[in-house]
Amino acid sequence: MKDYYEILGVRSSATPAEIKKAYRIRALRYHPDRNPKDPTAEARFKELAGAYGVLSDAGKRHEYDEARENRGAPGRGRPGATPFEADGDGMSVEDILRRFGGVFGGDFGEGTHRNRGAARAGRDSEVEMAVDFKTAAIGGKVSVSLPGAVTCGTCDGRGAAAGDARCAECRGTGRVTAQPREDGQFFTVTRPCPHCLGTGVDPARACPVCRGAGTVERKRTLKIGVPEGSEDGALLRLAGLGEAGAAGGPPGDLMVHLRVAPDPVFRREGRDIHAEVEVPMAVAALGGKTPVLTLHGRVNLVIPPGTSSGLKLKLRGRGILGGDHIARVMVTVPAKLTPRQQALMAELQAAGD
Amino acid sequence: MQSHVNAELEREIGRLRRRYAAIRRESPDAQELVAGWAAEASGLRWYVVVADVVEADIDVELMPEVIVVRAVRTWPEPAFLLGILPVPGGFDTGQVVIRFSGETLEVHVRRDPDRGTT
Repeated sequence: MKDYYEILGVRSSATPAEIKKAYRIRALRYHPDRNPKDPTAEARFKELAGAYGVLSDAGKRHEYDEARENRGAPGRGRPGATPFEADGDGMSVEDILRRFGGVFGGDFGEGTHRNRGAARAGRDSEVEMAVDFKTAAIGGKVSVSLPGAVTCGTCDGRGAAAGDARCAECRGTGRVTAQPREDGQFFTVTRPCPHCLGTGVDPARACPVCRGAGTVERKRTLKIGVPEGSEDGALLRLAGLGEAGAAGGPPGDLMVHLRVAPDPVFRREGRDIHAEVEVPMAVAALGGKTPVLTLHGRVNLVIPPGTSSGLKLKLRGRGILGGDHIARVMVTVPAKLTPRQQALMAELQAAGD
Repeated sequence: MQSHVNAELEREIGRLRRRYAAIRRESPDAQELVAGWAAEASGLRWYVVVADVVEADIDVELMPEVIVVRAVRTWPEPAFLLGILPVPGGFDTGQVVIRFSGETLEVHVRRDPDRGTT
């Protein structure tokens, strides 16, 4: 009689979980897929399956334990008791995978998809959004319209008109799983259920509006918050604002690509804003104040006496995110002078000489 | 001409990859499978490297715009592996041939001129 505990490498007091774990580790090590050049691997794999087949079944294990104990104590055996043998050696690899497949690929196949149900996360949406310079610089809200799946208002996303309307073919998962074994392949292939077309809802009892999908295609308008200091080409990822999920699945994310339009007045350099400011000739010469338009409103800029064109004056904290507003002075000369102005200019010129 | 087609497919594959990123978020601990593709006259062929995984631990889920490969590796260290294979318009995930040999999963998606780009 084979010692199944020894084959699996566990103590005779091992718990079912320990036995399962030991089997999984060893069976994967000797799996024929992993050992195509080792002819003994398949025999070992079958031996492990036989041992696991007995020790994973409480009734069989009890029977085996009794037989094992009697074998070890002569005279204690029941009259006529036969040595306990498992059927692992007689099973094909395919039989083993069918019987214990859950231990190998526990997360896969029909079982997994049944657990997941028909719920699917919504797809992520992408949209390009034009933003004016000022909104991008100091932040604000911009409306954007985009098409995509939204939750069906008629069935509230359930996909069914009323009551339990699970598709009998896929048991509500929306998926069917098969192993293409006829081609000698052991992976599983999952496809949308051909009966409900992947919705998981019986077509006869599906919501008449969304036909079981739980979502409908609509154009929606969203107000997107543009953070202060956004730059051209920036990507905003807005969690949960993408397309609606199906059958209770979470919504996707919305990715907004910002296209910031240039401004005729302001130019950005990092957090600083650059702009030109026109200063009348007399103010430039004598000093004074001139109004300046900044992103944060109009302020009076102090012009020191003797200012020339090209001088850069800084307004602290009037840029982006605490940056500065840099005003480049452009001294303006009146295009036409009154006779009085002409006389004064001539006097100035004479004094300067 | 071919490079133009490939560039267009690359763009579309990138767009679909972003569109279906939620699948990746569902399994934040998953390791991403390395996958490459080739456009052929007959269709689109994806090659996915699934190392140290037994065939029975691989699931290929076919959806209209994307194929999802999920696999469990138990050795040398346990890991959940995930591959997202976008299928641009013009190819049909209803007509797929899958092969697993060595450590590579090959997924051939046939052309379908009726299926336009979405």
